[in-house]
Amino acid sequence: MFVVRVQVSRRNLWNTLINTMASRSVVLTTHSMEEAEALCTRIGIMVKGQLHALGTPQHLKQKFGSEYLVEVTLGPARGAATNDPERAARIGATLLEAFPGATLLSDKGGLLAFRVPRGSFRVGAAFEALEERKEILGITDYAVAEPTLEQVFVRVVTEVTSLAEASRAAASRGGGGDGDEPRTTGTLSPGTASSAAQGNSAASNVATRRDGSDLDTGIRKTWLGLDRRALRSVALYMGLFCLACYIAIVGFDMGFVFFPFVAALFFCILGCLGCCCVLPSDPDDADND
Amino acid sequence: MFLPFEASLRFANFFRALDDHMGELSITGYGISMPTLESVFLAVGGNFDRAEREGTTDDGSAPPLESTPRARSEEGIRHVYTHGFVQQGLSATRVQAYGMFLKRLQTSLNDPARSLPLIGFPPAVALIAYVLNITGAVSYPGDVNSNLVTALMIAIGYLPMVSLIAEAVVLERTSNIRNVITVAGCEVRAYWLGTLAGDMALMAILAVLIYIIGVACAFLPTPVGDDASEAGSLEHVVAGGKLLWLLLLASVHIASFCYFTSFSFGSARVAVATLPMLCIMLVLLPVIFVGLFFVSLGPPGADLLYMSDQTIFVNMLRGIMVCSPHGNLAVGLLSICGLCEDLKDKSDCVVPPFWLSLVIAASEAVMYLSFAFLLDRRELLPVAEKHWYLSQDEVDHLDGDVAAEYHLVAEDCALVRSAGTWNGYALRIAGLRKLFQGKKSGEAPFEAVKSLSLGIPRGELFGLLGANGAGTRTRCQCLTPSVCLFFRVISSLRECALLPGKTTAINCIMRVLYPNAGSILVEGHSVSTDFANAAKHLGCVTQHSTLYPSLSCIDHLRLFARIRGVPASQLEDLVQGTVAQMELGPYRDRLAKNLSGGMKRKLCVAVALIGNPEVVLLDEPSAGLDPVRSLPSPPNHPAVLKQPL
Repeated sequence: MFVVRVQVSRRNLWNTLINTMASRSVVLTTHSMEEAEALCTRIGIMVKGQLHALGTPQHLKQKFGSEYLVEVTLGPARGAATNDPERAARIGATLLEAFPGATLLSDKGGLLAFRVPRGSFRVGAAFEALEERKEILGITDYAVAEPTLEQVFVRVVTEVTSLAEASRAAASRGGGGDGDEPRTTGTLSPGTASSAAQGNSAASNVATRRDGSDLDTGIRKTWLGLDRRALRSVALYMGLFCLACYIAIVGFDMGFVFFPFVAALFFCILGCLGCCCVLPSDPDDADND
Repeated sequence: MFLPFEASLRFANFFRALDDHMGELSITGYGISMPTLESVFLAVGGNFDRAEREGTTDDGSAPPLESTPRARSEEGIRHVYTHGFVQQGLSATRVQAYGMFLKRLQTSLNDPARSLPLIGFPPAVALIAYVLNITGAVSYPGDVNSNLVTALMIAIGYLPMVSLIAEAVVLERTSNIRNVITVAGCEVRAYWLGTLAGDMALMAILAVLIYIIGVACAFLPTPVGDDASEAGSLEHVVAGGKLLWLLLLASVHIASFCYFTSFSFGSARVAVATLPMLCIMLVLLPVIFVGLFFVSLGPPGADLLYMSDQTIFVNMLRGIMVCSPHGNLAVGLLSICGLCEDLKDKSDCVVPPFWLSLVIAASEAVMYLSFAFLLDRRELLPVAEKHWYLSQDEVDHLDGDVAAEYHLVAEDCALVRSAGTWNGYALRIAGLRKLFQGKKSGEAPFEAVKSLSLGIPRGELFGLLGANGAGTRTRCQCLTPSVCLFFRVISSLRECALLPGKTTAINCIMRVLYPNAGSILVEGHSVSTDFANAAKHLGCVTQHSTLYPSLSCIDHLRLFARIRGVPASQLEDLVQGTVAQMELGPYRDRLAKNLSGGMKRKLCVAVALIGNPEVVLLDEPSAGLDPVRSLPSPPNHPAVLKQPL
């Protein structure tokens, strides 16, 4: 009997998403270029926390994709094997005539892949050239494809990363580290309807970029005048003092230590309360662990 | 469009004509791609449509009737979706709390491995305690020692309960379901009231069971010794119903204690292992204190405080009552048994009376619940927004499209400030910036997100691609609120944020991180300052399936529909419509833990769509899914070949 185990495939889920998300605005994060291409109407590529490319998949391909892919499948030829390198070179040379700048990407036993620069490529002309030479070259099949989103993605990431590395290297050569320093002057970009007040606030923001308030997120940071670190220290040291008092009382029969013990316990509890219950743990704080 | 291979001879003419007439046809660009291997596989994989029409399921049986024709269901769901958030205020809180209450009962019903020990263990221990009491195994029936053992055993019977109650709450928090619930618009008050009501319903059962067993044992014939005390006998203990009241109130006390302490744990396993020990420690705390007092000061110390030994002992009992819910229960039981009366006879001090146990239980329950409420609500309080603008130099360095988007968003920001209206972006992120302080002292902050500006109108499906370390996760974390509080949870989530990759999930999606600068508007409501209203328009699907393992598909949908405030009259229509739309029909009664990965993802999407949110966040929706169904099953939807994506 024909049994259907309905595990939902990725494609099935995509269909569901397309059907249900039509009237909504959706943000989708993914590492799958295929998914992005299948689902998204607009794509942004983030590298090192900064948006470096934005637009429809087609727009990105046209803007960042530099080359087309031409795949040619060779048929059997008299007196030559399909993976004959000489034949491949001959076909490559012929294609080079049709597509200036084309380079052989791979030769997998009769399946040749060429990379053709975008500038010299016209889709109509490409099909015409291939159809004309099909018989002569013994081509059984061919395919033309535009740059994939993955190529676009890799290019954007690589460019940004290499730029950042170059600037870092330049900065280290300069010996100052100025390259890493954020720019400390500047105004709001023109062309917006924003007011002068906005510009002022922008300037003040820029001016305060490197000071401590930059990391401020509005979360309460102090209690009884002490921050988390201080409260934690109070709790820890008072706790240790408590322990010492306990040992003194029990081990050395020093009864008079009882009252310091009570006082230390009080402060220890206060510190614990401050740390755990009053002050929110700030994920930015490196001392949280 | 698809170009048939058979017509390849005409491709050249077609593309040449396309190139020539691009301007006339207002075409800015076109692309061409080959069929993927996946689509080839889908094409040859079999006729799924036929199977779907036949509707065979796993076991070959026909699906239930609810898998109605899609056209009809979509009609229905459109009708119902227009009524999203029909209720607000008190009535919505009631509906949400009722949903949480039902959820707790249903998960208990579906997960007997956890609910049976919860309900069965304390009565079983109580039964043993009663039998020991009436048979005189410890001491003769009615004696102080005998009653002391009985009281302690009943209190000990309640010890594992703290683990089971806290486990559910901590699991909810660590698996991010709590966050999803918050994003769905569940009020903090409704969440805690509903959870408490659910736990109370279970604990009331065991309280009644303990009482009934006590009554039954009291009527059994007991060996009566010469010194048997009539006042302390079990019959006397269970008579009057004091025991039942004490047990019921102690249940609330213990449950609320668990809720409060659950905030200290980042892992359910740790909570299960640690909480009973914590309870024992809390009982021992006053004992240690008094012990220290005696050891350090001795009888002169007691004289100093004008207290006799008996008085100090009674004060220790009071301390135990205040410190520990189990201690309070034990002392309350002792009061009923007459131990305190016995003490009163021997000393002049005022012993803890029975009513004090009730008062302490009630007041501490209120206190713990309030703490839990405040701790939860604290994360949702408005946070001041800081605006952040790029310098002209920085804007010049941006990509042209990104800079254009930045200007558009800046215009929108100016419009909001000047006119109080916004451009109609469903989701607008302006100048979002997030820094992480370096781990080492003096290390420069790591800028995970650098002034991200993005406007997403309604109807747009925006894809955010990022290389590992790009900060995509961080951006999503800043969008939504969190209820994870303590350092242990936070520090693990922070690692996720700093090392984004495939395995790091968007567990921390819900405003765990506050942006250092920037504003996020969801349908005109700021996430920072008005999250309650922003959440009404927000749905979210996290990378990992945030579902209750012991809740069926339909119950999930009902729960989230109630959380969205859908009234009872429209609830079933909405749920059935969603089931039909998401093609969950054959699985409606299947528990989430028994669903395949893909079905779980679908259910997550369905849950996010309940209430018809305008803005949906999808974090790697197809992570972990195969491109097509595994063999020997045929591919799911060759229909996609007919319908270009």
